[in-house]
Parts: sequence; structure tokens; C-alpha cells
Amino acid sequence: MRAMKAVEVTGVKKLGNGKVVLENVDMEVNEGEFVSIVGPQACGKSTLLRLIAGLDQPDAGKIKILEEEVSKPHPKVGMIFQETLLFPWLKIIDNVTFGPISRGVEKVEAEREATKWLESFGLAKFADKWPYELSGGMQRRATIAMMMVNQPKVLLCDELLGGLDLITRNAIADEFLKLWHEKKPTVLYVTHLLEEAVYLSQRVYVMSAKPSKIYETFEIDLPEKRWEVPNLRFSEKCADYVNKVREAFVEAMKVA
Amino acid sequence: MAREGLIFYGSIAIFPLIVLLNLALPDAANRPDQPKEVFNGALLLFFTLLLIYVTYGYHFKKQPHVRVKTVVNVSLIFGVFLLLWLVLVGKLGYLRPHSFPSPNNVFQVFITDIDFLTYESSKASIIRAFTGYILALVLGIPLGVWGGSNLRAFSVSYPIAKVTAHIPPVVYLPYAIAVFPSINGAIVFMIFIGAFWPIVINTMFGVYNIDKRLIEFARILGADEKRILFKVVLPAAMPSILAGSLIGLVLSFVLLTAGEMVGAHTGLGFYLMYYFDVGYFDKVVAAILLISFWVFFWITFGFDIVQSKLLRWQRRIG
Repeated sequence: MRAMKAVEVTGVKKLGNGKVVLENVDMEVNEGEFVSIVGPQACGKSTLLRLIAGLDQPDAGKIKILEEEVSKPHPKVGMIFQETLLFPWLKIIDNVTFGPISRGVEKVEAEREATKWLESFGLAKFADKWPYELSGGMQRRATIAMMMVNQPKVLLCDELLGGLDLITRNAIADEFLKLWHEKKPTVLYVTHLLEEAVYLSQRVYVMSAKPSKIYETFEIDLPEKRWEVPNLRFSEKCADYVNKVREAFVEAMKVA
Repeated sequence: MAREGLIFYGSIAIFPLIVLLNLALPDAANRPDQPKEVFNGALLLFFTLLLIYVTYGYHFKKQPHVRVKTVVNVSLIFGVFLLLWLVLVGKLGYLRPHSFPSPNNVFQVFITDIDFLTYESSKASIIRAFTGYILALVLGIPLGVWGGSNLRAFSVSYPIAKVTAHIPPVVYLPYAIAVFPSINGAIVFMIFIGAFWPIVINTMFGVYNIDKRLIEFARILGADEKRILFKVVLPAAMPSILAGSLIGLVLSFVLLTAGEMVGAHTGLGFYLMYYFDVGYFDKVVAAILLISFWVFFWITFGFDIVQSKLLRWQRRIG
């Protein structure tokens, strides 16, 4: 059976303020894959994600989601922004039901579904709280619930775990991996932490700045249920991958 | 804790102290004898309310200290002012009795003029102020939202609004009196103009400055434009809208009294000006107190309550 292409980016170019932000980017992600994008600052990672989300239009090239060309946000795509995780004026439960109700699901049904998701993240008792009352880690979990309740086929994460302490970060990373394993959405994960990129994904794209394009691609061959392997993060195999990615990353920065 | 509580209760005890002083000492010889019940009653009522508030806040709320302290301190300043007024003016008879009436004298007016001042004038003024203010809200907020969410409208209307808004609204009054069929209409129009600009500008500015990613976030979640407006744009701009609405409310009262003093035949401003012209200063001071009371009342029990309901989602400081 031929795997369906979840995301196809071909020859994409994007200008911003008269400068080239992205040039000739090609990327293919199969359905159910978990891929990471790393790269130096201002290399256009976020821009690429915004294009895939359908929030901006490329100046040249094509972007297809589930083999349909995107011109506006695709209903099967979810996106998590680092800066805006939740709507601060909605209680946690209303944040999670925001998507389903927007898509015409009955309120009662949406709340039942949302409660299930909150329970699976251990957030059930926070349903009636305001976002500011939750810790950073809890907020991330709520955001993931908010996206997952919409049953996305493609999930775009821009620095999902940015600004968290390492222990919370690793804990949520494992929860997120389990979730991905269970539901198999296609995940595009932008991060600046190479260790995290290697640990989470099946493939890592290294981008270079100026010209902003895919510099190198690494296939990561680690067991799929990574959280079951004790100390996999610190294993030699993992470290090897991180080193290789780091070398490419440094090269990519020299190009700039 | 116990000592702190003692200081709290001690400092609000100034109000029953004033009442006792008022009962014990006779009024100054140069003052016409006045009944003391109204002033004493008002103080005791205020004291009781304060006591309830402090007790409730001090013992049952989680972090009441700052707020209770503020209320007590502010009340203490009022208390000292009333004490000085009563003793120096009322009991010792300093200052000319004609232009500086004693507190007993002034508070008595609320009863002797209960129909004209306390009821009729207040009613006329409040209806006028709120007609203008609510009109300004109803027109200003939607216009501001439109102006703020449409880049072209914003770039044209914001500079215009910035200039027009700073024209003092009282300058419209003489012309409005000439043009409008009734003085009532002219005053309401002036209040409307005065409240309209701060509401429009703040709404426009609030909507314009929304983090655009919030809107994109909502769009990705599948929200349509109507849902984005009501669930994202309006709540995000609400702090700014409320800031403008408060300025508008305060200005409404400023313009109301200014307008009534110039041309009206009813209302608190008219009452004040009328008795100023005939030289009854106890009534003038009573009107000033009543106007301050209404401004305080509508801001504290109207605006602040609405605001804290609408902004429940914000982290409270202090």
C-alpha cells in the first residue's frame, strides 16, 4: 500500500520585506510520520510552518496537505504557536471546546469529548480554571488537548516546549510521543534543541539561513516506543545522531 | 494580627466619635440651630457599612489586607476632614457662616429638599447622563471595532479621531442649544460627544493592537469571522474598551453638570447654580456632595462590578 503524502512542499519560495525568507524548499512527509525541523535563528522555520498551515501564501512553489493544495487553513491541520497557547479569557474547558464548537459540534458533545482529553492529560480538575492559574507545563498539555480534540491529521508545532524546565520538558515530550504513537497524526516539530529533535522524530531536517532552505536530512532509526527504553535520551546511539545533526547544524550556520 | 486588627477598627471608630462630639457640644452661637439627626445618621450608616466591609474582608477573604487597608486609610482621611469641618466650622464658629455652612446645616438639606434635590434633580441628571453615555457606548464600540479591525479605516480615522477627540466638548454646547429643539437634547448631545471619543479611540486602539496570532490561532481551530469577533477580538480588546468607557463615564458627569449649570431647568447642576445665584450655600454644598456621591456610586457599584466580571480572566495584582 502506498503511504499517503501528508505534507508535500515543492520549490517553495517566500519573500518578506523584499528579502528572500525561504528559497527552493522541498519536503515530503508521509502520513503518520514525526519529523523535526531544526536550524539557526531566523532561518525561516516558523515561516515554513506558517505556509504549511495556510496562514501565508508562498511566492513560488506548491504546498499540498493530504494531496490537496493549500490556500487557507486546512481543516485537518492543527497548529501550536509558542507565544499564544490558550485564549486567556476562556476557561480551560472552553478553550478545549473552542475548536469543535467552531466546527459545528453541539456544545454538550464537545464538552464530553474535551473532558475525555483533559482527563487523559490529568487536567480534569483544572477544567474550570483560567489559563493564568495553570503552570507552564499544564498550559502546554491543555494546548495539546485543544488541538487533538479537533482530530487533526497533521499537527504543526512551533517550539511546543519552549520556556519549560528540562524535567517538565522531557515529561511532556514522552507524553506527546505516546499520544502520537496512539493516534498517529503527522507531526512537524520545530525546535532549537537538537537532542529533543532526535529523541522525538523519525526524521530531522536541518535548515540553513541565507539562503533559507533544507540543508541536510537525517533518518533517525530508534525504536518507536522510545519511552519504554530506559535512558534512551542518554544512550550512545542517540548521542551519535545528535552529534551528526550538530555537525550539519554548524555547517548550515557557516553557509550563512 | 490582633494588633493590626485593633488599628483597623480603631481608625474607623472616628465616625462614631464624631457623632458623639456632635451630640455633646452645642453649635456655635453665630449659627442658626440645626437638627443633628441627618449628619449623625449618615455617619453611623457609613460606619456600619465600613465595619461590615472590614470585618468581612479581614476575616473571610483570602488576601484582603491591601484592599481593606486602603479603604480604611481613605475613610480615615474623610473622617478627619469631617471632624475638622464639624469642630472648626460648626462648633467653634470660625469662618463666615453664610458662605461656610456647618455639616449639620448641609446634611439637613437632603431632608428639607428631599423631593426637589434628592429625588427630582438626581433623577433628571442621571437620566440625562446615561442617555448620552449609553448612546456613546452603543455607537462608539461597534465603530471602534470596525475602525480597529480594518487597516484602511484605521489609518484614516485614527489621526482624525486623535485631533477631533481633543476638542473640549463644552464648546459644542452654545451651538447645540441654538440648534436643538430642547435644552435637554443639547446637553445629551454634548455628553454623547464627550463620551463617544474616548470610547471610540480606546476601542479602535485596543482592537488594532490585538496579537494577530490569536486570530490565526482561532482560524486554524476552525472559527468563522463572527466567532472570531465575539470570542477573540472583543475579549482581547476588552481591557482597552473598558478603559475608554471609564473615561467616557467620568466625562459624562463632568459635562452633565457643566451643561445643567449653563442652561437646564432641572437637574443637580441647575439646582446648584440656582441656589448659588440666590445665595443659599448650604444647598450648594449639599448639591456638590450629592453629585460626588452619584459619581462614586456609578463608578463603584456600576462600572467596577461590570469591569471585574468582564476581566475575571486577568491575573489580579495585589
